[in-house]
Amino acid sequence: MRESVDVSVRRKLSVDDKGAIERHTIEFPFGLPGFESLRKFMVVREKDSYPFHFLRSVEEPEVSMLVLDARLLKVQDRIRIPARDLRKVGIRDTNEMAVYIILKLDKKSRKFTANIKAPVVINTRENLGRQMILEDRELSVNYPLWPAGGVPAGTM
Amino acid sequence: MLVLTRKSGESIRIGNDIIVTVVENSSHQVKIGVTAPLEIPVHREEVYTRIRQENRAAIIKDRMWTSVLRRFEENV
Repeated sequence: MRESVDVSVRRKLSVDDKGAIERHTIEFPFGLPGFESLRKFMVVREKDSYPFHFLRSVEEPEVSMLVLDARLLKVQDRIRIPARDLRKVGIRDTNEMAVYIILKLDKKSRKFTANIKAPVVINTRENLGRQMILEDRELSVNYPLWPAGGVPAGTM
Repeated sequence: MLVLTRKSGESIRIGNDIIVTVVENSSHQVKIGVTAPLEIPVHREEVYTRIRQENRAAIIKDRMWTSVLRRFEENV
């Protein structure tokens, strides 16, 4: 985690982030892969969970995933969303954009991996969201969040 | 599945807004063009399936994450 997460960014975000995104229901016109019929989600926090949030379905609250603001990851500049994809959710500039990475907990190793191949992109002006599958073949669905020396991630 | 035979350059219309065109056809692969409204997601099926699998596996089912999270907090 020390290797993967930019601590200085995290401190900045904890001051700036007044939880604005958490007050709104976000519409996902195409759901999420695997949950295509679920259209309304919220990004919420649990007690003490910061910097982690939950992407939680309003319609089926058990559908809940741990997510991390992409800005917290040192690999964030590899997570490039093409302008054409931003237009799909009506994002006109980056001030209107929030990008979250879905985390997966490996139950055996108790370690988290991040799906940087398919970030969740949110238009914060209109509260629209979509999971974008990025073309870059180098991006992993299981990017490790533990320090260097851990098990290498699988790649697409 | 509806199966249609097309030659290179020929197309198929799906609904009112989607057109699938065989751009190029060789012995080992076919180049397919998709014309669709910008919002309509278009994906290679195996990529989509993989993301679907990952999302389903990412569902947090119980409170197990809190103790793991606390350990992360201590390390950052």
